[in-house]
Amino acid sequence: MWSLVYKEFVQIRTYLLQIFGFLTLAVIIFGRATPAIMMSYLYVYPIVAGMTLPQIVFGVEERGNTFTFLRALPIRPREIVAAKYLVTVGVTLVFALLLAVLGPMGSVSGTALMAALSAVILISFALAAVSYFLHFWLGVKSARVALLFVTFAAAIPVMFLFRGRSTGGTSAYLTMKLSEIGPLAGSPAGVAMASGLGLGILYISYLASAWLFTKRDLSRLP
Amino acid sequence: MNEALGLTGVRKSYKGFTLDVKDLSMERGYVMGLVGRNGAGKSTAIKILMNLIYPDCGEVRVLGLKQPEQDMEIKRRVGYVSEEPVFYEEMTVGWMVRLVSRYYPTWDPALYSGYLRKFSLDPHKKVKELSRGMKVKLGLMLALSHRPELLILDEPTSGVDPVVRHELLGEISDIIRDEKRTVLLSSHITQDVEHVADYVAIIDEGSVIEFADKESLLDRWKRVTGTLANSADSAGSDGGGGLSSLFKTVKMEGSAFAGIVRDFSDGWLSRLKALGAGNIKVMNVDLDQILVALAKKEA
Repeated sequence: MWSLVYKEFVQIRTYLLQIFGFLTLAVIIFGRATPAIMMSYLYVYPIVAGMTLPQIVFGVEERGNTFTFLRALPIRPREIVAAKYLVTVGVTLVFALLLAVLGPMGSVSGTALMAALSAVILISFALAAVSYFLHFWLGVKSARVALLFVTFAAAIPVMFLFRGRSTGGTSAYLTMKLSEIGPLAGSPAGVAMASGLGLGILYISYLASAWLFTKRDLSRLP
Repeated sequence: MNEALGLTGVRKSYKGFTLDVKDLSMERGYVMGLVGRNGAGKSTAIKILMNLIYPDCGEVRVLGLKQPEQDMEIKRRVGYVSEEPVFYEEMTVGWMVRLVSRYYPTWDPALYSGYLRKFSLDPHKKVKELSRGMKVKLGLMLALSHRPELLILDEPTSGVDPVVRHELLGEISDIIRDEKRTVLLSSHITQDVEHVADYVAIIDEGSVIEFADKESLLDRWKRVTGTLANSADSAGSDGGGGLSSLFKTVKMEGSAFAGIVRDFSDGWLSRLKALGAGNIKVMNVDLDQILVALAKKEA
């Protein structure tokens, strides 16, 4: 199983280098002068990664037709699926760690930082859960279209609720609101709860994807 | 318990194509050639054995184990080279080997090193830099280095130029002769199979239409030429008891005839003579001619 997770990381190394490279640049450029901009990058990137990582990970297999190769090895299909989900968990946790470390640089209070971590982890896991399931169900091309619909369906109420804010602004707004909810939301326990909830959503998505992937033979893979 | 593979009552339907294998089995220690035209169902049958395609019904057995219940155990004990040599193109040969070797408890590093040298594969080279022939060799190396009890080669020489095909066939023949291996080799190029197979199964339009040991198959199938004293009476183009009923395919030119026989025997020869045939010549045929004759009849 872990060698499959390692395989996934090796295969998306260029994507990870790009995304973490941009983030490093954002920290260098905006870190001291305008930390608020740096923080919006830290809010947005994990969410973007949650949505796009499944496309990258799944796309590599579909482009190279390598699911055939993996399925011919003595590996359980559900392990192949699990490895892909674990990559998202790993990447999101690295982002969360960066947010926790760099948050104080952006003059974010402890309560707001905990709330931000809760929001980012939860949104990122939820988006990855939807994105992975759509990919295992429909394949890369159709999932991309479906994700557009999902994004619009989700964006309209969000824009309505948060008065037309951007994704980064929405995360920040959510963070602020979360920190206002109560002592739990802006505390480590709140982060743990959000992570637990996010992982739960991701696990349900994994179960559904693993079921689909195992049930379908190679001729019926999307 | 000595069975290497078996398909009983296996059926898989697609739109416009159905694979229907009533009974096909092979014992360990032999090489079975699975031949047939492109799209005849060879790869589908192999993918069913590997649990890559799920049959609609039927029983699939590999090395005495049942698919799909014992899929993991089967895959650990089988070496499989797929029709398309598919690997992670951006990765190196060495990386592919490290990935694959972790899943086989019987992986033999010394054997792997031997094949690496034999096939002149560079472990530092990226897969995308390999030619198709070299990718097939990489597939062979990965399939063989864990000392499989059964080796399944699905069209290993397809899509390569004649020189590489000849070279690959040489390597495959060496591998097969090397030890008394159990091998299932599928190909639409009958010469590939004829070189190495002990048993031959011919598959056409999803059904196994011939299955026998190679020697008896080539003994039964013959090319017969001759002349007929009275071609108009004896040709039997109506499909009755005439000449055409004796042959799988037959061609008449005046009084001369030439055809392929499916079940040649002394009794068959007597029946031909009884029709007034003379100047009879009986010649051996190869698998290619058998396949063409079967295809013509089907057409």
